[in-house]
Amino acid sequence: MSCLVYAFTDTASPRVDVEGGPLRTVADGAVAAIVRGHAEPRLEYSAPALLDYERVMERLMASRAILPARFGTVLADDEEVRTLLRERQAELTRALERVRGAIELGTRVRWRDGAARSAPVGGEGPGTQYLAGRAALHQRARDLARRLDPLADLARDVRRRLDADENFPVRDAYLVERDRMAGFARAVQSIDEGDPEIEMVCTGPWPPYSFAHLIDNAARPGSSSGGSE
Amino acid sequence: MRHSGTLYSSAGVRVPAARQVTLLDLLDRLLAGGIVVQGHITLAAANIDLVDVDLAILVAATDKAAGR
Repeated sequence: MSCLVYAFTDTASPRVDVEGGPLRTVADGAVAAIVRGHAEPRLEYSAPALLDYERVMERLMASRAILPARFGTVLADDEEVRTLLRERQAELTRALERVRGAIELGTRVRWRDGAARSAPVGGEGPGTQYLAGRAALHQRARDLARRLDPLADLARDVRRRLDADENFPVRDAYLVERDRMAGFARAVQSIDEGDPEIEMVCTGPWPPYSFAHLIDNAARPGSSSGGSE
Repeated sequence: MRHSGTLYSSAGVRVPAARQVTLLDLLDRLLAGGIVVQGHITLAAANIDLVDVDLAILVAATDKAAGR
């Protein structure tokens, strides 16, 4: 039977006690994978499957440090899971340390209706106008993002995505210590209420989906990544 | 049952919209986040565009799950 992998964790973590499915821990050395037997070689992609996956993840994150696996990670059997754990032991251990004790919070921000618009672009041909318009949108997204600077000080790490076309052009994920979550939410509220030009939504706490990666980028200057910067 | 939700929503963002944002954030994270073990993503629709996800179905499913 195949193994559907939910998350990676420490071998020393407490027993898995998530209801609604026979979850198991497959361990090798210091790291373990939390898996469930899966009859199919592929994972069905459906709303109930997605929600079920998230519910399991939220139960798991309540009691231990976890690194979520990408939804849809199905391995052939326990032996393949153990091989993976053995081969990636050092990277998994480092990645777990990066997220230990923290949760992920998401923010989306946009200009309020009526907030100052970029100067209108005119005069040139349609191609030039289009490109100038795109550049202005991206500049606006960067201006918007700068108003969130105080949040980065409250977080261990930040992932930022800027997309001028989006309803919310600035989408951030913050890795925040569990006990600083309330303070973070207050800081969001304070920025939002103190700035009449923007509006914000903050979601979470999420398992650290956006900070679960095996490549150690701690040496990279700055903590933000992605986007069009 | 479900503790992930909207922690804060600006007065300008109406509550139903804030809930949709929460669901979009969930999809974003499930489908684009997490550890990728090279060659082991065998999702039936791994490269499906987020736009194809039927948000209405997801909203309905969440309502049901939350017993609302």
